[in-house]
Amino acid sequence: MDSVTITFIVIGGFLVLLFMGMPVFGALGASSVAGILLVQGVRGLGAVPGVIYDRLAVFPLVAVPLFILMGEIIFHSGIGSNIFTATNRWFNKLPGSMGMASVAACAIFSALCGVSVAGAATIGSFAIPEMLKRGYNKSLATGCVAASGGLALLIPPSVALILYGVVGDESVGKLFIAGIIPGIVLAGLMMAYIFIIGVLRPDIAPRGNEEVSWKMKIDALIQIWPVAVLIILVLGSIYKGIATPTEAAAVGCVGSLVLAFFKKKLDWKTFRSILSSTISTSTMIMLIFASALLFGYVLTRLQVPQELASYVTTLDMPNWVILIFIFALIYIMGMFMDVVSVILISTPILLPIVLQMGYSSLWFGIVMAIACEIGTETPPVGLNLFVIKGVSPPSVSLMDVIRGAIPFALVETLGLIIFIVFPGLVLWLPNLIK
Amino acid sequence: MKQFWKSLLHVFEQLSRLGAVLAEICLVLLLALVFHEVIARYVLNKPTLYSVELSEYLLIFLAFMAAGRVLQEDKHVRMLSFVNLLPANVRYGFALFTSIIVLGFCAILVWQGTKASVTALKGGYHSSSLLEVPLWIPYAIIPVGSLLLGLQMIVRINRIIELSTDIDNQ
Repeated sequence: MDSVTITFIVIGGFLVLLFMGMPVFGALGASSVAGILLVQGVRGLGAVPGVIYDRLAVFPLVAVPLFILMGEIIFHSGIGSNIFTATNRWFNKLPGSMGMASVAACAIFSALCGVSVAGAATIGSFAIPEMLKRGYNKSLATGCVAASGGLALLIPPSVALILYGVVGDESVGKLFIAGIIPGIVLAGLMMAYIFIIGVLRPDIAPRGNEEVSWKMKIDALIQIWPVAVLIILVLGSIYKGIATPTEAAAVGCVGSLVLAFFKKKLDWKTFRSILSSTISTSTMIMLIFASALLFGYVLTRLQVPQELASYVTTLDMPNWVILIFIFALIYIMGMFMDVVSVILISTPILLPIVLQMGYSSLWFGIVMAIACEIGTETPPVGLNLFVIKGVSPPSVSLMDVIRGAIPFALVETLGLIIFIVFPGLVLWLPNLIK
Repeated sequence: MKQFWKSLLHVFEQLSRLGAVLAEICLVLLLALVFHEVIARYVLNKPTLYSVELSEYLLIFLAFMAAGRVLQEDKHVRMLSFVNLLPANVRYGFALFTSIIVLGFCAILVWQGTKASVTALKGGYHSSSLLEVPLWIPYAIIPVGSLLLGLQMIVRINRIIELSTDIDNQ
C-alpha cells in the first residue's frame, strides 16, 4: 500500500473513531497502531513502548502535574473571591465596571493557574451572580467570564504552552515569558469592549454605585498580597533564569499550600480531593500526550509533515493566505476537540510549514494558544461554555452563554490578527532574557 | 460462574482505585523531590544528581497508574456532541465497538511493554546516570498501567452489554 493511502486511513480512522465517541487517547492510539501495522507489519509494534517512554519521561513535562496541582490548591484556597473583591473595588464607578473587574480577576487568576476551566469556574461562581444582581444582561455577564477564563491558556503558567514546548522543541520558559504581553493585551481588549458597551448601553452593563473609600481599596489590595508573592516567585524565577518552569511549579505548589493552610482552607479531606482531581486531569492529559506521540511518530514515518511543508511552498501563495488556512484549521479543530488534543495533534503537522515560512516557533506557540483559547468558547465543544453554564444561576441558559461569548471570540480574533501582523509584540519580552 | 465473574469485575475496579491512590502518593513524592532539589541547589548550594532522573520515573508512573481510575470516573475526554444526536441502540453499538478497540490498544501496550521490560531485565540494562537504575522497572510502568486500564475497560464493556440488554427487554 502506498503512503498516501495509509495516511488517509490513519487520519480518516482517527476522525471516524473520534466521532463515534471514543476517548481521544484511544482514537489516536488505535489509528496509529493501524498505521504502524500497515507500514511495517507486526514487527513495527516493537517501537510503540519506546516512542511513548522516551518522550514522555522528560523533565519539562514534570511541570504539567505540578502546575495542575498548584491550580487545584489555589482553587480550594478561596483567594479567588479576594481577587474579585479587589478588582471590583478598583474599577467601581467606571462604565461596565463589574464586567471589567471579572476580566481582570480572571487574568490575575490565570497567572496562578495552568488550566482554563479553574479560573472561569472560580471567578464565575461569584462574579456572575453579582453582575446579574446589578442588572447586567445575562449574555454579557456570562460571556465575559467564559472568554477571560480562557486567558489561562496564554498567561503563564500554562499547561498548553508546556505541551507545545515539549512537542515543538521550544523552551517552555521562553514560551511562558512570551505569553505575558499578549495575555495582558487580550485582557485589555476585552475590558475595552465591556467599557464601550458600558458607555453605549448602560441598561445592559450598569455602572457601580457603591461608595468605595480609598481605605477599602487599599484593604482589598492588602488581602491579595500573597497572590503577588506567588506570581513573582513563579514567573520571576523563570524570567530571571534562576529556575526551570518545573522547579518554579514546585515552589508555586508549596507557596499555595502555605497560603491555603493559613487561610484555614486546607484540611485532610480537601487535600485528598485536591490530589485526586490533580491526578485525574494529569492522567487524562498525559495519556492523550502518549497517544499523540504515537500519532506523530506514524505521520513522520509517512513523511506527512515534510511532504505537506514542501507542498505548501510549491503553492507560491502569499504567507497571509497560508496563515489564514492554518488558523482556520486550528479554529475548526478547536470547535470539536479539547485544547490539549488540538495542540498535540496539529503542532507536529503545522509547525514545519510555519518554520519554512520564516516564522519562529516561539511566536507560533503563542498565536496557536490564542486560537485554541477562542476554541474553548465556541460551540459545539466549548469547554468554558459548559463550565460557565454550570456555575451560573438556573435562569441562565446555555444559549445565553454562547450568545455572550461570541463577541468576545471576535475581540480575541482581533487580538490574534494584531499578533500576526506585529510578531514583535510576542517576541520582544522573551528576547530580553539571555 | 456468574458470581465469580461479578467478583472478578469487582477486583478489577478495586485495582483501578489502588492504582489511583499509588499515583496520588507519587504526586506528593514528586512535589517533595522537585522542591527538595530547589532548596538543595539554590539555598544549600548542593545540587543532587538524582532528582531529575527520579522525577521522570515518577512522572511516567503518575501518568499511567491512574489510567483505569480515570476511565472508571469517565473522565477521559471524548467528543460526544455527534453521538448524542443518535438513537440509543446505535449509541450502545458505538460504545461497545470503540471500547473493544481501546481494549485491543491496551493489549498491544501490555504485550509490547512487557516485552521491552523483559528484554531490559534479561540484558541487564540500566540508566547511564550515577543511579544506574535497572531500566526494566520504569519500562514496566507502561504495561502495568495499561493492564489496569484494560481491566477497567472490561468492566465498562460488561456494563454496556448489561445496559443494552436492559433496553432490549423493555
